Amino acid sequence: MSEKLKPAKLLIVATKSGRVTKKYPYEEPLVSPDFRGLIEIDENKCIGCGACVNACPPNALQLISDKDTTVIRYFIGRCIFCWRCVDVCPVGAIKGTRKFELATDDASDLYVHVVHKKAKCEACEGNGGTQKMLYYVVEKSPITEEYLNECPDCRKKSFIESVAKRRAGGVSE
Amino acid sequence: MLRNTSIIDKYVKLAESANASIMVDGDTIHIVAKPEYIPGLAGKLFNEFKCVHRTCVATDERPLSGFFSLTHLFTDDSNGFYVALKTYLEGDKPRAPSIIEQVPAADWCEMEARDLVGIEFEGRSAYRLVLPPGWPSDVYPLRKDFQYDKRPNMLPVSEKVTITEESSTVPVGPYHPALHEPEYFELYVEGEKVVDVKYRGFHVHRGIEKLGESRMTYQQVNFLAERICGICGFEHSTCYALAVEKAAKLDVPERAQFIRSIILEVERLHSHLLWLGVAFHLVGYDAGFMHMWRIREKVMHLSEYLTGSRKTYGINLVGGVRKDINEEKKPKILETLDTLEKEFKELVDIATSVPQVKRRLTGTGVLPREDAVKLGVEGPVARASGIDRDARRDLPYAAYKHVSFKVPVYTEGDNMARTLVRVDEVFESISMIKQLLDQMPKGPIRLEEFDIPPGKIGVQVVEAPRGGDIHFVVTGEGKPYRWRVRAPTYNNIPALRVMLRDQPLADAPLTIASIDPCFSCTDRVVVIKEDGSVYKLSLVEGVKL
Amino acid sequence: MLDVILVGVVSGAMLVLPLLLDGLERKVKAAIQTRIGPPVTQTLYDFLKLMGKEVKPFTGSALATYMVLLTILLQVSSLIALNYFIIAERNFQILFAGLALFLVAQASSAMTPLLVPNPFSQIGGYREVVVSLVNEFTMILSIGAISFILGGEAASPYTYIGLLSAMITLFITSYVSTGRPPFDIAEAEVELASGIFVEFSGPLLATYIYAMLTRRLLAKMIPLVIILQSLTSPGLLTSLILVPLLVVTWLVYGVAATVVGRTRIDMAPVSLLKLYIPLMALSITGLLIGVYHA
Repeated sequence: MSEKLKPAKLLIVATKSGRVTKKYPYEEPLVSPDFRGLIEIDENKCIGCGACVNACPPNALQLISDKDTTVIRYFIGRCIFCWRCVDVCPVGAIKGTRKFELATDDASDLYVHVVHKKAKCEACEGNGGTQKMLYYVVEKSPITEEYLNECPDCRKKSFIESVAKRRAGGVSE
Repeated sequence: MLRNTSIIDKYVKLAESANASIMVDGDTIHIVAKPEYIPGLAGKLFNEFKCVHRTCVATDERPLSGFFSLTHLFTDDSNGFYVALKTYLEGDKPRAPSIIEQVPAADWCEMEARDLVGIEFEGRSAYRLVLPPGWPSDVYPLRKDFQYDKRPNMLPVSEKVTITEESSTVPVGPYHPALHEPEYFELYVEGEKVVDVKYRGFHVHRGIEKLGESRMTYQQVNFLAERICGICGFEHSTCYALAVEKAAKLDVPERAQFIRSIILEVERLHSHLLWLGVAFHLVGYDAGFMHMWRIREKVMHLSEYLTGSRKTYGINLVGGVRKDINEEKKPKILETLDTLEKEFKELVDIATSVPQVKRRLTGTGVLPREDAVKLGVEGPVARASGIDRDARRDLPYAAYKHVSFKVPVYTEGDNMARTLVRVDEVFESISMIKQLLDQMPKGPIRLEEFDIPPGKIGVQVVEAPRGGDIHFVVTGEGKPYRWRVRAPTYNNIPALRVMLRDQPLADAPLTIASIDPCFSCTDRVVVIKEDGSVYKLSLVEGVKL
Repeated sequence: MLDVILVGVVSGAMLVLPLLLDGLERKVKAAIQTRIGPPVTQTLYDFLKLMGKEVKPFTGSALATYMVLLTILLQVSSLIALNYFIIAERNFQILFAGLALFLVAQASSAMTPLLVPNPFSQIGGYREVVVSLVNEFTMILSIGAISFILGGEAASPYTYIGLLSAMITLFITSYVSTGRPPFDIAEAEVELASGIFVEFSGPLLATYIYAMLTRRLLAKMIPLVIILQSLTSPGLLTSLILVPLLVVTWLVYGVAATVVGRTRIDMAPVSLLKLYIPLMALSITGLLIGVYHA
């Protein structure tokens, strides 16, 4: 007989658990301290190197360059909140938060731009990396002024010329 | 070891009998033979060596060697070996012999190779499996000269439900309340009895294999692999990482392997609890569904606590994991597992005593053992039909060689057996997590510097909650050259035809659900993104057994 | 004259009961499933919302609409007849007329999905007919046995056992005819994609669901009326006792429905017959022994 009444034991189980529904959004959401949410890029720390752009699996972070500026564009709509960018940023400019309530009816809300000035090359009037990247490199290992203000291609040329001058008296044309 | 060399000698003799070259690399045996010897070798591997055919991979190797290649992947479960049987095919319209006479389980993967790479198979009837009906017939997406974001011109094809005179048709899908993912079953019924069933799937192709070869780097593919499936994503990303590490011979820290195993078992818990809830819902026992998912919520909290996300954990990388399980997390895990075990036991006790649940599950959807072996079914479906196979025990990977566990095997092969296998596996998983937590070594969790040489092959099988999942990686420059995924549900769906025949219609959804279908896993092969046309698909041809 | 007006008023008031009680049942079901559930007035809101939608015709919609309206007409007449029986005068002919109207309403409601040429609808209708065939027939038998026992003078203990067994059968048939789990196979089976409801939408769906809920109300009223008529005299008081009893019965049925699964179409008639045949056999033997002793 008790085998037949066993289904009714569910009522006992139900009374023990009570109601488990959370009245979100009228209550706080239930996220743990380790939850991976939105990322925030600190504009002051970012040097515009593009390491995060390389690491981003869905291409939510993109590097857009034109003549004078480099822009890191973060499109929240594509982000999968994996925090790889947080892992690989060399200066720790990207911080992860626990925000996830990101819905909006205006798509332009979802774009975050970090704008950097490009470093101008004195030799060829072209552009190299960003200004901040140069300062970062100088902090890590000092370079002479001559090389600092040249783009990588001109830098290579100057270096070869100076070595050639020392060894063989100049570069033959 | 002596035992190993005698087994390897047998393989060497097999290769010599077919003038094939053989190379043993770790636990993988590579045999390269001429195309005409392949059916003979495959037959011997299946029948004499008792290997399990997992999948076949077609690769466009024209940039590397000028040929197409076809690799059949077998696993020797009793000895723990992977066998990769490879052949090279010439020309731009390559032809290869079919092995479905010897190994019926190879049916679908050969048709997939035909659809996506363009290999014609001799000795069998051909049909379009994976690509939609309107796709142009000489455009092969997985060839290297096809760009991943190109869209060929396609005419939308509209088809109607097949109407026959003998029996009425009940279409189930592609949008149907019984299903969680789009698939299409046409059930031919006479009265209330199902007389035949046809299946048309592959509605959720997303082009994952092509994407993994074109614009992703090695570390990025982990995240892509995780999104193959919403329920079993972590085991896909683990399998990929293990395959690449095997190909590049990386020495991953032990602690990372332990963490991977723990999270794999946590995923198995959540998947089985989910399935049990869905099974109760399908028999009408909604209260069981709600309570089971209330219990499952604890596992989701645990996952978020350990990895940072309720699902798509994102902690796997080639070379290790990204997040550690510290000492202070252990008490919470043990407490959650204890409550979980008690509540789960109580609920399964109550639920299986409900007469309707018991009667509807017992004796329905029977899959006999011979059919199960021929079709190569995986996971709980195989274990419920008497096949004792589990990749965690037979081909140990990650940290599974350090734990002891039982593999539940039942012989009835009906829906109830499949339920009981999953219930037993939940208890085994809980005990496994406790053992792993106990024995976890200290150390780093990630390899910082490593190098992945191109041109190496890595094959790995991981026991997903639904069965054995296999990933095959050929390394390239900075990204995989070829990545092949074969999910477990791929092999389980053809078994539905046997299970659904001559059963009452009322059991159809329960039987379909009892293989725990994960159609997103099944459909992940290469196609372009959908171009927005809407198809009313029915069946063109059935699945051949 | 006053009685007739009272009957009309009470019947009109009871017309809204099915919707409110269904909402209450959903709340109780949610509590057992550890959820909060929809508000108690949810079914009423759904009904009003559906009535406000556009009418979408389909093949067979005219016939289906006619049958649904016929069903509701028959059910309301049955309700009025039962109320007349308890409030105005204990005329057993009116009671049996009310029962007959209820059973014909069952038949017309089972016919409705069979008029829609959609395979899911047909399968669902077929299932409902099979269950009704076993169930309603037994309901008639049990009511017949009860009225025979109550109407006769036999007072031996065997007759009381027979009466008890027949009452139990009546309550079980009343539960089965409400179309709750384990016997909601006509509409809730998953592969049927909502079975008998599959083509209905808008006001037609609202009226069909209302007919279903009124059927539940009447199915519970019948056994309660048969019990109450031997305990009280005609008047408004009986109605005031009846309504709370109805609410309690509805909730008890709802709780019973939540803790069981759904049966299968081939198991349903067999399990029903396995239950009814012994009970009715006991009841009829008790009756016959009572008659023999008298």
